[in-house]
Amino acid sequence: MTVVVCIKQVPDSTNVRIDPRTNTLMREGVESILNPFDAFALEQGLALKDALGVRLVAVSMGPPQAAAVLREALACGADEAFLVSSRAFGGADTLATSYTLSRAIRTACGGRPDLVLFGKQAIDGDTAQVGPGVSEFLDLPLVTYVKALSVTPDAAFRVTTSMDDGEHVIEGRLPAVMTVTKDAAPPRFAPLAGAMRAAKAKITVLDEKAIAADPIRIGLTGSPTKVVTIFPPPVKGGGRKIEWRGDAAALAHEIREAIHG
Amino acid sequence: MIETDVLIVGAGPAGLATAISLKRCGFAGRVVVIDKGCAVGSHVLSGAVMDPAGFRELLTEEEIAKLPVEAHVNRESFRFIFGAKASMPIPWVPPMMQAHGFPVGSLTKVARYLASIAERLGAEVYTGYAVTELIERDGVVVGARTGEKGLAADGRPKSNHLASEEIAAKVTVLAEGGAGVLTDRLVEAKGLAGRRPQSYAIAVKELIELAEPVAGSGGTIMHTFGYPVNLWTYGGGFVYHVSDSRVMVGYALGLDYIDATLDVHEIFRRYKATGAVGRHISGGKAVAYGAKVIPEGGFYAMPRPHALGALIVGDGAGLLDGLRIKGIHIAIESGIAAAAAIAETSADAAAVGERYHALLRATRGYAEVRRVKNVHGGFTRGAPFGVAMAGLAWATFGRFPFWMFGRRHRDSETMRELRPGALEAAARCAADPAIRAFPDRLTDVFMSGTLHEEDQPCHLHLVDPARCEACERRFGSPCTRFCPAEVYRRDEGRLRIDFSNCLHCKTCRIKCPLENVEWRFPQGGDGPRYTMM
Amino acid sequence: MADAPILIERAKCTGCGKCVNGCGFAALRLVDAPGANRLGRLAEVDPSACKACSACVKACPFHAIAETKTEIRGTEGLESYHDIWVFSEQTAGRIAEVAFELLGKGLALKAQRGDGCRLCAVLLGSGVTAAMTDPLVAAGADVVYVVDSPALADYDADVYVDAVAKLVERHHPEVVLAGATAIGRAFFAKVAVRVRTGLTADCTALRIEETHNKDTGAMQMLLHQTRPAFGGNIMATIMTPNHRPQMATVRPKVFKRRNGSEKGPGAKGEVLREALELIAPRTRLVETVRDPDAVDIAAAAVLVAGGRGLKGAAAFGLLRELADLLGGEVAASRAAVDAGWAPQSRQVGQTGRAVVPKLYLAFGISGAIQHLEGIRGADRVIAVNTDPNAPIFGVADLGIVGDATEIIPALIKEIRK
Repeated sequence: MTVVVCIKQVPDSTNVRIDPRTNTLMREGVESILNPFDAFALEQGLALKDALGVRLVAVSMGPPQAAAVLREALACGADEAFLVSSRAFGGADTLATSYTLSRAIRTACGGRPDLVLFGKQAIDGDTAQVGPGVSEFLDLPLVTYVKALSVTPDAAFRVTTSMDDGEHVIEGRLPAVMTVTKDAAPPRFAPLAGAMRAAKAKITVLDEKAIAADPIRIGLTGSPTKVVTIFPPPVKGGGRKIEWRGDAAALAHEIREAIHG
Repeated sequence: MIETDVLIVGAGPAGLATAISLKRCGFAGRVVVIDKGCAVGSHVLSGAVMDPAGFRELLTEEEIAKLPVEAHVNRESFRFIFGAKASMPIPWVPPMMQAHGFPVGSLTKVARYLASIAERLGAEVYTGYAVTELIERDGVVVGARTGEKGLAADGRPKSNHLASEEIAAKVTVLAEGGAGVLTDRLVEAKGLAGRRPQSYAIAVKELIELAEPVAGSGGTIMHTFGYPVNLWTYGGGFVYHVSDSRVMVGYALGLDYIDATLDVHEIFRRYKATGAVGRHISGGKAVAYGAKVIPEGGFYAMPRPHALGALIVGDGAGLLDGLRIKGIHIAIESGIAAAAAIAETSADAAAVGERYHALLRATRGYAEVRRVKNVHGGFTRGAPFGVAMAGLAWATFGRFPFWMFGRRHRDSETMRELRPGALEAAARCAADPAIRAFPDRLTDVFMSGTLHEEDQPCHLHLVDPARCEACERRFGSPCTRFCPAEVYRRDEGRLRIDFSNCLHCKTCRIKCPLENVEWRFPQGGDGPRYTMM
Repeated sequence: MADAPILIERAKCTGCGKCVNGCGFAALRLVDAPGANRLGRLAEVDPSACKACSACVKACPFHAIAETKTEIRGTEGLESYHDIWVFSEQTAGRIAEVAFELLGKGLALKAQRGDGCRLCAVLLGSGVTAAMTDPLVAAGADVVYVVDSPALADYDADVYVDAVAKLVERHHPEVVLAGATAIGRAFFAKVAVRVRTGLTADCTALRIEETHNKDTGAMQMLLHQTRPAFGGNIMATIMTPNHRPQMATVRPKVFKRRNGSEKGPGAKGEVLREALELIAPRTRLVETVRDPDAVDIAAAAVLVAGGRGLKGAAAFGLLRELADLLGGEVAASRAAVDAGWAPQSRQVGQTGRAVVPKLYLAFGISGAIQHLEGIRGADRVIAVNTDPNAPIFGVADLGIVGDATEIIPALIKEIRK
């Protein structure tokens, strides 16, 4: 059984800062980290490896320095790592990214994977679209917001998902694509011995040729959405400040306005 | 079991210099550097105006040219500050204090750069692992153990528990920085302590971004002494323009202070509110913050920097020029000496220590520490006396005074009990709106980026919680004031410890008047996340 | 095939760095290039970070940056796409509130679009009745497309995607909107891939206006989709110029439900039952477990939060009451969690959750930066605190200086009226 976990390197949002003069994001001082949601997906993959001895393949798409998150995955116990990287992939939106990743997953597995795991979303884009998008390109069933997952050796699965109306218990058979929430089992830590192994491990770089991508469907060319303008969010605060004089009706009115206005 | 020839604990300038130098002098064995920060440099902090002497010995010219610093010192001044509004320049900067042409910038970035060189040369650098214990066999240090991860607050293993790992090493190099826990444990266990206890200063620093760049300001530096502390307290500040748009402002307070009401962060705010500093930073906004302790006990406080199988380099060995408050170059030189000793003795645990000590004594940095051996002692009797003594010591190449003088107390012993009303008086001063305009302690802590897993055992262990109540009566819980990170606060009549704010500076361990804080290691990877300090 | 979305002409670049400052995505930086110009440095683009927004092209005073022209293969026959669709999510026969909010917005978009554009609702389910379609018509839908099939009794991503994609292929809508709910976010991304178009998630503003298409040079009526990026540090406006439909999701409570709108009760609307051959689901919903205590404050539209100023656990009971009245959830500051007045799962801030409510009511929270960090995404903040200098007032739209323990009961009484 082959399980693929897709992970992304993202800027650490706790450190994201705005240049006070130009109101733009500053790269300096912002660390790159493994997308926190993806760590939970990786943990689900590692747990399956512990339970069933699956082959666990980590795939990431990004610039060469994104290899760092693949090394983290290897250090934790992933068997192989693939970095999908090429300047031709630059400017990809979620559609082009989903396409590129789905091609890369096929290449990495040498065919169809049994399970592809994603974090629920990435903290930089917050779109939650790439996992579902890949499931469509691979024509696999999609289960989102997984918080618990069990798979039997004959590939039947049972998952618990966190939905708006409560928890859903869903059953099916692999292959499938799943996205994992932060309610799932907490990610394990990489042992130092694992980090040492990972530092020397091979990471295969896949470019557009390696995945036999249609050039018109990758990168900016393959992206239907275009960012037209960017601007700083409206400045908060500077609102009114009043002394409480027992006027509950006025306050209740303000609250209703804010909710329904 | 992990095996290596050399294990280096700490990826600061001393540890990385050891690694680079080992590989540069052809050492073929395995060299492993481990740091508890989440990335290289995330626990590294300094002013920093760097004496380039160390880099010249360690790096090639090409590498020096690529050091990640934006400015070199081109204007320097020394000021005495009388008060919030009044200050006076010292007409000439004493020659030994001059730093013209020195690189000025972030030591965090320099550490990252050094790590990239070390890795390129074949050393291995791992971050996010705390080395919590040395392993000894027959009195010889034979390696170290990493800390567990994934423990709950009550100490029970969580579902993602990671066991401790052992690293066997022929030689272990401790490069933990000032007040390192392993270093101090080793010094105590092996009786390596110097002639007087190590004395520290707590230094806090902000990186301030100016509203508009000031053309040509990069490279301007200023050192000050005087206000906000009185003449009997050892303290001083600095303002470094590391580029045209960014200024590092810092303040170091000697931890041998006696006044229990002193609040290091409030002193720092007061310092920024002075006219002398204010004109450098007006309209600016703080974007990063950090704190660390500086060992400034000087020559007589230096421990013997080795035990069987273990070497101590950098700040941990007390290698700091207490007059210039410069240690980076000496840390690098000590790393080079350690590397040479390891290479020469083929990492022989029995021989390496003495050889290192001999090579260390021959370094220029060591001579520098020796030359100013009584600096700090002089200052324990007040600033004017200290300045005079320091000058004499420097002028006579360290020969005068010939004896060791000054107090021999530990920093924890110097504090006087509170007089009634003293805290209230101090609070009235702190209410000054000019001071409150600067970031408060929690805001600064936020900018340090510090983070700790909340569900883990508290790494600041109280030896006896009852002592804290005695301390509250006698000293008014000074930890709530000397901690630069608001880890300690009194809440509903008892002491609360918010360990997740901790910046790993160790001030509490050093200054608690009842020596009630035992510093244990939090989960590896936790702690400050300096990126520009 | 171009490497990066923009091209920097080395000969023209002076290394001034204006483009670096102008880039909102930190995709540009200066690299040392001794001898290349007087400053000895050149701008360089990181193609993985570049979003091709062309801010740098405008920022460069030396016209050294150009967008690289790319070959476009958009949707065929763009003109055949018309109408605005709103996916009307329902669970157990109850239509989600967000569908009505989107219909409200849809009315405005329809007016902006003009040209005979219709507003249509799409309803999937099993045993769909007039009780479900009537409110959609009343809320402004000119057409309600209904797909009624036993396969649609419960949500299943595969079947939902199949149904909506087949409807899109049959009717060619120009714009398709859905609520950014757990269901909407997941299956809509699959629909977009199936029909090969773009999707913009979590939009906070939508409008249609005549726009110049950079690729074709023509003027077009396009949907401008605005959403936050990088944790709310930046807003981006996104368009889908060459593909149809233009798809977007919107979080609940972002737009207002329009009651008694232009169409009002008794409005006319067509209910069209669409016969579709649907694929069989590949997964099975075994059970739904509703746990009233399990709450994700990160998803709540209204949060009523308490801090140290509440002085005790008792006041949190009142907060619960107020939250229920407002249809919101209870949240807490770190101080309140530390004091044991609220569970950690409700903590907002750096060590708790980051929240994005429509309204954040802060009672007795002073507003340390660690807390404010967590509420950066809140639309409106109303704060109550006794200390007029509390930092929370710095971010509040409305600040009330007063004692929360006195104000909360008064407010409950007032709202109950």
